[in-house]
Amino acid sequence: MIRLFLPALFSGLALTAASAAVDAGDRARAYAERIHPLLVKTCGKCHGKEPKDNDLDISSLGSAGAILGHPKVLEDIAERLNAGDMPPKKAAQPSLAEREQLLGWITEALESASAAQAGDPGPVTLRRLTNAEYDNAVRDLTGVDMRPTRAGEFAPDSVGGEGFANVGEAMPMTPGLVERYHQAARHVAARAVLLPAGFRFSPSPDRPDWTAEAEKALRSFHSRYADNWGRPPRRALLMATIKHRERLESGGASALAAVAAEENVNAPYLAALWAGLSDTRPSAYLDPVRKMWRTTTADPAPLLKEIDATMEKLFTSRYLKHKHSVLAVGNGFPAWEDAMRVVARERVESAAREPVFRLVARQVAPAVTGTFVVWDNLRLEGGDAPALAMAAHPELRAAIEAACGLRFGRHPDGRPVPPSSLVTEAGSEVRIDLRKLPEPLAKLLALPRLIRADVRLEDSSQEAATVQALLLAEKDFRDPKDPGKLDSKRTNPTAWRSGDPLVIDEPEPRLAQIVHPRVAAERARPAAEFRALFPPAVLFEPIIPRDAQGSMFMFHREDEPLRRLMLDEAGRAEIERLWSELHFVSEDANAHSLMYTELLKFYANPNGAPRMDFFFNPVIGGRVNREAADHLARQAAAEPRHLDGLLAFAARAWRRSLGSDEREAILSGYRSDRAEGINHEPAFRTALARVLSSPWFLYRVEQPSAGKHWQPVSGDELATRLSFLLWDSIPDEELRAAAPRLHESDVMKAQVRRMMSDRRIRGMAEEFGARWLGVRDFVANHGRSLKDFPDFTPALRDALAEEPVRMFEDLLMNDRPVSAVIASDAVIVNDALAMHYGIPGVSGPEWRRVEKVAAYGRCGILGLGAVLAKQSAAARTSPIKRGAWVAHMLGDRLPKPPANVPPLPDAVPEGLSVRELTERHRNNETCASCHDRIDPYGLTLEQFDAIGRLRPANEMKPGESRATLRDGTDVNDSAELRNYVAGPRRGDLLRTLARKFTGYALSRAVLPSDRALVDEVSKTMIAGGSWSDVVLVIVGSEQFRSIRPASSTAAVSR
Amino acid sequence: MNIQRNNWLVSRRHVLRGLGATLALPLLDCMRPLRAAADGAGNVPPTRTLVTFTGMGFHSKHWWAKGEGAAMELGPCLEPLAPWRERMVFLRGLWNEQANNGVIHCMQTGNMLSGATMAKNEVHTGVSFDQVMARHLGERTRLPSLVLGCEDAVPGLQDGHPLLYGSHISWSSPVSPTWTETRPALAFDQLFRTERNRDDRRVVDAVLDDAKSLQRKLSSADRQRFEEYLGSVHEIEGRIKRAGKEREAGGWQPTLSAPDCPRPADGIPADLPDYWRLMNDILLLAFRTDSTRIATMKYCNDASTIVHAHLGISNHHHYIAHSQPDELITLNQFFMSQLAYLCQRMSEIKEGEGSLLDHTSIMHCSSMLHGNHESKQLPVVLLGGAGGNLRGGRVLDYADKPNRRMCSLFLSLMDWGGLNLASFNDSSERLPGI
Repeated sequence: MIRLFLPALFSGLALTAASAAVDAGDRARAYAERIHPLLVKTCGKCHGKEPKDNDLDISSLGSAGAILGHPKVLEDIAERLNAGDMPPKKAAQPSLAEREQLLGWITEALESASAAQAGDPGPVTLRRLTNAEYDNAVRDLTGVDMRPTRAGEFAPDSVGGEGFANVGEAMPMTPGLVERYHQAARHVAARAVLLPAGFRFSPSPDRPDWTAEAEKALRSFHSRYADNWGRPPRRALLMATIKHRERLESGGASALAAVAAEENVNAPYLAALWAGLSDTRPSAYLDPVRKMWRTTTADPAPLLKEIDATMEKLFTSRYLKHKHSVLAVGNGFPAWEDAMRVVARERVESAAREPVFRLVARQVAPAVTGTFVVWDNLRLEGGDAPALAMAAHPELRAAIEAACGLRFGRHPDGRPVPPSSLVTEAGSEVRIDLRKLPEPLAKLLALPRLIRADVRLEDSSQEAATVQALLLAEKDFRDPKDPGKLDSKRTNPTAWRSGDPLVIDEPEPRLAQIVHPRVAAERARPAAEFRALFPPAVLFEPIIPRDAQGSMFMFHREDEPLRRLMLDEAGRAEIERLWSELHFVSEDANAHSLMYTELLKFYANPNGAPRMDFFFNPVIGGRVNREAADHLARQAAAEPRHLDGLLAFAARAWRRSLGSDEREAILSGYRSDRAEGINHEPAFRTALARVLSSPWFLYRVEQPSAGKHWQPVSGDELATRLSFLLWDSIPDEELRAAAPRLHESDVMKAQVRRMMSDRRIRGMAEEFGARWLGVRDFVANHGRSLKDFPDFTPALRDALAEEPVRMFEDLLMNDRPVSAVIASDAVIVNDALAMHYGIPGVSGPEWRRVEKVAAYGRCGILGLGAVLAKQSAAARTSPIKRGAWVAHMLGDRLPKPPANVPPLPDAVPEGLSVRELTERHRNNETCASCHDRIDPYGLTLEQFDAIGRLRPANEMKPGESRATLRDGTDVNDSAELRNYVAGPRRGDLLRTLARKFTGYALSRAVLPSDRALVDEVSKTMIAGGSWSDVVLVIVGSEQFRSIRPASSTAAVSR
Repeated sequence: MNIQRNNWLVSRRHVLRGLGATLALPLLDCMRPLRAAADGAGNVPPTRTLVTFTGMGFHSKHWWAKGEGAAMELGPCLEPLAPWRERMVFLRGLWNEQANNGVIHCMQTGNMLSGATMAKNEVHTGVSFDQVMARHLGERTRLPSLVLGCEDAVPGLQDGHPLLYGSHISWSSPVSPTWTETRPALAFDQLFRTERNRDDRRVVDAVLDDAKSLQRKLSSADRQRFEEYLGSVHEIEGRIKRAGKEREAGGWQPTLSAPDCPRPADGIPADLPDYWRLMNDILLLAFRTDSTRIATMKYCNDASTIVHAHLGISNHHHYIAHSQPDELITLNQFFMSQLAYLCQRMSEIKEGEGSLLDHTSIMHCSSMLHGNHESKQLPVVLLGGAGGNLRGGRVLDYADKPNRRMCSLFLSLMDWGGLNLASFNDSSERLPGI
């Protein structure tokens, strides 16, 4: 190869200054007088008026102005002369001096022309987003990688310019595509999940899935504080107080915080425990625990056992003991209740099943004489009717008084008491049989009503007295089929039969101990103190109350201990948000309201089922209606927030701030829908789909410069250019915030560095890296014959396709030198690929960097399995395709392949190697003239089979991968080819890469006026610059930062 | 473009000009007054136009026909069309001159139906004749045209030449290939998805408003380019409007008013013959319901890499097109059997006094004669009655004729479909003798 001349042709900056000194007029004269005649003499025989079908007529380009209008022609001539391609060998050759003269003039002329236009941003055609950009933008807008173009079966991206997908000319727009865009926008809008304070997106368009996501978020929050029974890590907390007792005794709040951090336990609960355990004021239930705690130094098991035992005593659980039997919980009852309650006043009740009931007042030993119990406001409640006070109903009142011999408003000793009260003596049972009541009246005392009363001790009672009261309807504790047997469901806590003792030794734990109002608070205190410090669980972990028989409520929340003991203010806000989102998204209030109405209908006729009580409980009814109303109010309150969110979303999607008219335009469509009676949610989704269907989202629009010359783009536009360059996606919040100052170089630098270390740099790895290597579409178009390569599994295919992307991610995120694309001695592999490559010691599907892999033939881009496989025939290797690929990467100039080239057979004939097959056609002189430039590169890669594996040495014929390159270099194998490319051809490789990268960054073909920029990029690469160095050169260039005027008068030439 | 709307299929001016060049040709057939009113007015079924395409030509030795009428002999590749030989015209020697600039495959295919020039390094060629028809006549039906494909488009560049040329024969604008639907379900939706709803309209209206304000920002060059988008949105707008439009009562009525089969499943059937059959059926459904009168079917791309394993062939189409094993004949027959199927089905559908086949002009073509890139003469067969305009059972050889332009044939096909143009790209004459 002749490379004697023009080292400056491609490294022009130095010459630019010199050439500027040469007067343009002189140059024109020189062309007319010497250069044009010389061109005609050298080339005119074939490139003149004759023959007619030649593609260049030199004779017609008689003036410097004429030929400078075709810089591409000039570049071609220079390249051809330089490479010795033209004139053809058989034709008369120009002398060395003539050659020098021609090249000298061309170089100067090009340099000068290019310098005059240097920095021209060029014509960047208006373009839509590529599929990849669209999908990435949707991912970054929604936080969900839903890839609508894949779901919508969009046609694949096509490429243009320097071979990349981001070039407007290569992207047609058709009605079919517009329709797909509108469908894709609906696809995204259907996945918006409305929240009380805005909206998020889900991979699914179904509300149950959204609910599951909200529930999952809540669960994951819960799991930070409690185990899967809702219990706090009590043992760890106690251990922390024990282990660090001394520090905590002296250190105060700061020591508590330090210990919590050190032991990784919850700080607020640790503080509460420490305070509760070290308190010295007496507390009946806590004292034994405290005593034991003080002496515990290591194993806290006995201490925990003691706590558990007390807990067992002071709580009853609907949940903990039988996790799956939570019927009551699902119907609005708490999961845990206090046992051993001590109260001044207690409401007692029983379902009214028969007009027979009893008032039982048991005393807890020791019995105190003179203790009287007030049954106040004996009444019927529940069902659909209003409450009915029995004392106020003359007939009932008379019947009751007649049945039991007591009188409302009268103490048994005759003193007056409030008129609504009956008073009985403690330690007595009073049976009230109303079966003789006339039919209509007796019916009042039936389901679905409840008989209730409020019970307290009469004021004159002794302070030492303790009473447990029961209001019992006859059937409540008898098995109707076998009156002698207790109804098993009712054995606790109210099982009591006539004749059972009326004075008991131990209080029934689930029934309240009613004491004199004066002492109630003091007698309740010890248990309350213990319960406050040691709840059995801090939250109701199941969230969904599972139950086979049917639960009224979708969710059950019980987390007062969590909020009180474990959460700080932020935590409380967070759990409120999570719950409000769960309710909002699940719309459970609406479901409850519907279900409650249906259940009321279902149970309208009493059928004796005990669980119906729940549904007729006016407390539940009230709650259901209140929550449904609240939900409506919250929805209404959220609507303006959704619309605000939509406008913010539109600004992000459209990559700029919105004018007030545009905001209004978006909202007006929504308002029209609402005015037509459409609900908020569908109207909102239409508005969202409209934002994503807008050409402002689909097209990359920039405001052309106002003047006659190109001018800098706006900050927003520059930010968008930058994010599409690096991420193949829209700017994020941080970049948008930096946009107004992005033209400042330190701001730009900081953003470039930040963005290059972000995972979204994968966008550039795919769209620049994999496309530069020609393997972006490897998964779909690998061309492998599956019949011939059973090992080429989908997993391997995907791994091969992924490797180049991972390689570029590694190069970019770690900001390695650009020249590492060839010089690197590392691969990025997973287990499948490592096995394919024969690299030992890699297990697991995660991708990692493995160094020192030259021995396995993996050396930079020449060792990429996807490239080696793609540049092969279907069933065999193809030195021609591989060679052409290498030539292409090196920027070698290859003539057009002639028409009617017979192909080589796909299967190698018996007894021939691919090498021999390939060599055959090089015996043909016409073929050889080009294939001498191509095949030798490819032959050196014969060590790799057609799916990129290293072929075993014993399968290779000697010298099968040896070749003499066109410049005379002997190369024995791929390793030597790598040394050759990374050595003498390093500059060529990087210059070609620089040109490609410049074209990619500018979204267009490289222009002659980009010469200086491409040179600078090349120099940066060649000097060992890293990827960020190169990116900074590009993004600092005028081309990248500016835009041509609307009606471009700037000379444009291609 | 000069559109002459009169009652003659071919303008007198053209006939006279044609006569000057080829005096002896039996042109009279197309001079008769419009018998089958191409626009379906009155009670006469309209003439439908169908173009079908397969890539990379046929076996170089076995694609031939000779003789006339029932005595016509067919080369092995054409065997499946034997029952239809009397409805068939075999054309030899036609070409698109602009497809012969030395670059193979994509640059031989992009102008298949336009004969226009093709730019290198960027996508720019001519509007294809089917889309010219759709533009002028499309208003007659709910869909201006239906463009189907059985192989996805291939993007990218081949030595700087857009590969897009190789996978699109139908072009809506010089820079935009017509959307070629390859998904049966989506093709079905194109035809029958009429529940265009409120949000479709709302979105399209809003998008048009956005587009107008956006356009004001653009440079003049971009504004032109943006027209492509605006045109597309207007087209959708039209579809939405037409979707709600009831068919006018009176006059000719199609044989089907609604699809007689359910919407196909999403995705592509795994079995290739099933897939092609399904796409054929959708195409037939489009004609039977008069959803469109212009259809284009690209069975496979040029340089197709489909492996026709269903025929027991293990190498891909492109490969065997070069090596020409006997398997290629089997494959070519498979292609022709698609046409035979269409003819069979169309002949069974009675319309007026004839069948759908009588009222359809089918042109099958490929962008090269055989696998070694011969595009100086193209393989073309015509089928069907073209509304009384086409007489079958003939073999016409244009190889040595002065006018052997595909565009001349397109002018004739357009005439038959009801669009009379003075010229089309590189031709201003009808194909003599057709």
